[in-house]
Amino acid sequence: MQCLRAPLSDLSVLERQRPRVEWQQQGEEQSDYQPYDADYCMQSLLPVETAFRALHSCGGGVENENHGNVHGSNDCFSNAWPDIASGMHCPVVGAAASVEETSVNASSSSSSSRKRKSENTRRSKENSGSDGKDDINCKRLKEETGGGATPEAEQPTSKENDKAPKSDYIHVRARRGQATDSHSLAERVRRERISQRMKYLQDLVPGCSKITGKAGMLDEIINYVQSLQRQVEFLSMKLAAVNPIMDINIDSFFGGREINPTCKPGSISMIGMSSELLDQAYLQLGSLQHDMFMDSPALLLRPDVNPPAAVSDTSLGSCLNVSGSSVWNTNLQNVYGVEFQLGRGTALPFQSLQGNLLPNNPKMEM
Amino acid sequence: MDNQDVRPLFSPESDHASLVERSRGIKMAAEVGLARSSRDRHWSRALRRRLLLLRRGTASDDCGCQNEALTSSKVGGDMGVGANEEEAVEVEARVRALQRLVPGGEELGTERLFEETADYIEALRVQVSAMRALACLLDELRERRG
Repeated sequence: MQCLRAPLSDLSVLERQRPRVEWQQQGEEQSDYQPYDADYCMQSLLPVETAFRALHSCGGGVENENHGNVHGSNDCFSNAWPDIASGMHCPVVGAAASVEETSVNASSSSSSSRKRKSENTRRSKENSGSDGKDDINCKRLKEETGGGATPEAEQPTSKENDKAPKSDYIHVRARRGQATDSHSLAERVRRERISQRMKYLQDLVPGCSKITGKAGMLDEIINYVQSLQRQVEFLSMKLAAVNPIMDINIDSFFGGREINPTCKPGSISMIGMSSELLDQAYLQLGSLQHDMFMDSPALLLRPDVNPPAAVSDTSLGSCLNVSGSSVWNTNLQNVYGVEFQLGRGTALPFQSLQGNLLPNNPKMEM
Repeated sequence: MDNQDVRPLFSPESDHASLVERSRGIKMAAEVGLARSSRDRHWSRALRRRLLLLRRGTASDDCGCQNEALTSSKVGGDMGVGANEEEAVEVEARVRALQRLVPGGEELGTERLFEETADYIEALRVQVSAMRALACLLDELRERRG
């Protein structure tokens, strides 16, 4: 289970890395971008164990080696884009020839290596020589200039190499026959920034690399976002179907504080419960140390719960464990109250549960 | 779809309308979680605003429209300077569509829009996988019980 929490910068970055790596590892076979089927989600549901195993493997500090095509998180933006800005101001690296020779692979590796700066574990490696980074940045900027100009320019790219940079600050090469005043330079810089971002998006969206036109790429991106949103809707409907319901009280979601929602016993529904759990899961998991995934120290269920449930304890524990959080207890007490009100005898001693979703299950008439 | 199988089992409670409403509740909670759990990004703030408005029952469309009208100029003419007119128009239309998709996108220029889109995509991915794992979990538990 991944969770993101606003104040935790690094951890949320790492957390966010996990699903990407997980998908990278497993998603290729499952081709997680089968976006347009309604039951794609059903088909490609990850088995829980593998999901959490992947999390476990990632939890050790995001050491996975296949980061070649992992392009970081928004940290990468905050890191990467200022790099470009600083690269603009760095002094000219006189290796004009090397820029031309640098292949796309090198640029992607340098870009990915730069974007990996956000990872703690790689910082020492990658930043061995921030000067070298600046050089890479400068070179990359020039490459981008050369590369980005290609689709746009009518002139052959080779002509650009002959032009010396016009100023010390902005190392954007003027194209032949193009005005070099600051206005159009700024315009060009802006356009290149946009195309850089589009490239990033292209890497983010699966299946986009084959498409070259801007419009086509934007189409793909739009479709992808739409499909993700549809997946969320679909999954929410699925979750709704899976949980029994007593009554809906949407206001209970927003009751006051994030950590301690005002749960009114009797009015909070199971669905509210599970939804809040989802919500809380995002919040609480972010506060977990990543080693909790490894240790899974506190099982959600005490031993006195039904044995069949105990089998999934580990996965539950790793997924939803928020040991010591009072929130769960609050929720559960309310749920417990509701349970009694419904007069359903359940085998689960709810008091022993901490934030477990199991309360839902006994109510299902299977 | 799973619903078809599950529904008869819960017949008194799970007629279609309540199912829809339930799922809407879940979806809202998921969005709330999404908005709260991400870093302070423009889209997450916009999402929070939107959810807050929904909760209070106010139509959020007005604000959106206003913003769009005000900032539509930001998008114009960005992309297709080197390309021909048609392409530029196409691209612009798509950028506008993206603006509508990404929460808070209407206020952003193209460059920022792409940044926010990337972050939004990542967050959506995480949310989807979390929900999927949750659903999987529930299924598994349900099977083990039943």
